[in-house]
Amino acid sequence: MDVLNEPPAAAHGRRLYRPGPPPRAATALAAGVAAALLWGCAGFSDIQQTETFLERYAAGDYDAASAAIGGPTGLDYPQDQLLTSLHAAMALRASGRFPASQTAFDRAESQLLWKSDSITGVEDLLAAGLTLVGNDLMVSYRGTIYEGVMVNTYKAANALMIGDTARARVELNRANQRQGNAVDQLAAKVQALRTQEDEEEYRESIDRSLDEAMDPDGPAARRLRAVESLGAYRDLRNPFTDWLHGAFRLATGEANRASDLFRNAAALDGRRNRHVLADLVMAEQEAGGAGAAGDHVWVVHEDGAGPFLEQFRFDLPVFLDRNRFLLVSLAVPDLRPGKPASAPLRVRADGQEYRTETLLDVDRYAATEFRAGYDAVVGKAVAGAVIRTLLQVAIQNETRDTGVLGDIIGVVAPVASAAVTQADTRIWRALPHSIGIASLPRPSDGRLRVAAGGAEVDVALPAGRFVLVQVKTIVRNAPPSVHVNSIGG
Amino acid sequence: MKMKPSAPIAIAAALLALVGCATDPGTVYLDTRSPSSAPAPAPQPGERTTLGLDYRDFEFAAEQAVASFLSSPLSRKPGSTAPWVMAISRMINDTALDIDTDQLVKKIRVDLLDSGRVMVTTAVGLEGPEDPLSARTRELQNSNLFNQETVAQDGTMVAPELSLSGKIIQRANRVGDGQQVDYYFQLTITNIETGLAYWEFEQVIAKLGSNRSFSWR
Repeated sequence: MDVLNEPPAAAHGRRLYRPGPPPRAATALAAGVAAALLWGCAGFSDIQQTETFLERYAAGDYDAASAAIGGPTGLDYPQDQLLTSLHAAMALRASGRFPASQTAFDRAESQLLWKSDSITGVEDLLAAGLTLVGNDLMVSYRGTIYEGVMVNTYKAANALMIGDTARARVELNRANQRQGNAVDQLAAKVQALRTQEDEEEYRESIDRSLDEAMDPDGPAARRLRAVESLGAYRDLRNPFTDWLHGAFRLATGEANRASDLFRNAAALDGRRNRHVLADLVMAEQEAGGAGAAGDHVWVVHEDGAGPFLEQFRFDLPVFLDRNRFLLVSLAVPDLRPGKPASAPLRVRADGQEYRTETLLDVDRYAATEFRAGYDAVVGKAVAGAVIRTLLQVAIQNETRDTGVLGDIIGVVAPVASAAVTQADTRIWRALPHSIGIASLPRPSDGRLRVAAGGAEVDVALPAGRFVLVQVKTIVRNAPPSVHVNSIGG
Repeated sequence: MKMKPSAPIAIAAALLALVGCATDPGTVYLDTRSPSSAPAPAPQPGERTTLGLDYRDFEFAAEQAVASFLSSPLSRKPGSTAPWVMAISRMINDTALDIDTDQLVKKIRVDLLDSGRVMVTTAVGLEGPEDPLSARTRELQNSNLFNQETVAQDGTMVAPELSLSGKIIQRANRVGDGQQVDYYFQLTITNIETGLAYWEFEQVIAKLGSNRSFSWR
């Protein structure tokens, strides 16, 4: 428990409760036990592995990144680990190992929890690890709604690179259903976070602490404003997914459907991306019977490193009664923006230069979901901290006169309490900072020149009416990863 | 504050007890038949099922399709007692499910063959012949190993007159606390000589279930 020199505004005029110092040997024992217990938890293991993975992935060494997780195949890891699968899938995809990437994404999808009413009861709450007295890091990573959409979107993109049109269609349909369900799903998720079954006894103390935590001038509110500045996507809908689906439908001869999807993407994007608007015109003309447009090339550019979560700590008064309070340290996740690398991409074709334009801002996409659940996450952290603190004080009072056992219990409880006061900072770190697109006529010589950062790559286009070029840049000086295939069959 | 050591145990016990109380209302069929249509052999409205597609759905759709085709006067070849020769064209799975469209097509083929009005060629297909051996056995025409009277000769294969194509579409919508998933089985038989759609068919199978999971889970 931390003690501040300056108590928060609402605590002025009240006495700061100071528990007596615990015995040193007992402290060391308790700290060791708590650390050992927590280190084996799924969350800490995930965080450690993510750091190892990112050392390689962020440098553009995708083979080494997948090997760090799953050995030479990239797939030799426990299949039920969602975060591991998400990271492995992205590294394998970036290095062009699409079938293996699909396997990792399949594993990830089988672990994704969220559906509209997935968390409706106590059993779901427990299964999801959304318990107040414990810590989310103690359970497996469950993923987010937007990650579910991205999984199916990437699986579709992988399938297009393999030439598996049937699989791409299924994955795009899944992504579309996930998008359509996102609003309901988000509401259910926030409701689940607010469902606190074991807090009634402590309601008054929780409410008083919550008022402090939600102070508009307080640190939590400042962090929230920073997240809000990243923007939001209406209905948690991803314009890139709709665009890719539209491109697929146009390539498979369904111009009407393509037109609807391009229109969605343009609206979500605020009609800023000129390539999407051009695609919309092309689809509408084709749907209107104006005849098929000429051969076409789409360039998709995934750039930079996506957003991440940091632990943000601040001090909170926990009221023991009307006059006494303790200051405890509270930990909540804080969404931090990602980092661009080489956007926009410059594409030369037939002597003309095109530039990709951002269609999906992943910071904004993640912030949409993060913001929606933030109040509930803070509320849950506050309730957990209040309950743990009050239980701990009660334990100390009860065991004060029980000798050595009392000393040990009196130390184990606060150390264990501090140990579980850790924010769950797990997130799919392998997403890009942004996804941009360019839409251009197929060059007469069948070649593109793609320039990213300081590197240039010559791309030979395969035959086909529609060709998709996927480019990934994660750091400015690393050469881009480029994969290409014709789509639509 | 007075500690109540039994409180956490009581809470845990209560939570565990509640786990066993959760019930899933289940997924049932909706009746999408028009009043005049023949009774469906299966599945029945209200019957338990999955939100995805299972063998009964494919059998039902295929049986309805074949019954529809055979009730059409065009199912008999004009001026002939010989069966139509039909090729299988594109059959698209436009759902979010992992399904093999042959689950539908094979049942249709079996029933059409049994009717005596249609035979399916396996020598012609959109992505190559379903059975390439018909063409490959022609390579035996120059082999001394085979009795040439038993070797298939050139010009004996029968070209298709009809083509079967189709699509399975899925639409999912939230209905109250649950979700309704509709499947559209859409089939077309095209007269290859004229390019005209000779027969059109659509069967809807609608399912109402909980919104706890996606249909493909």
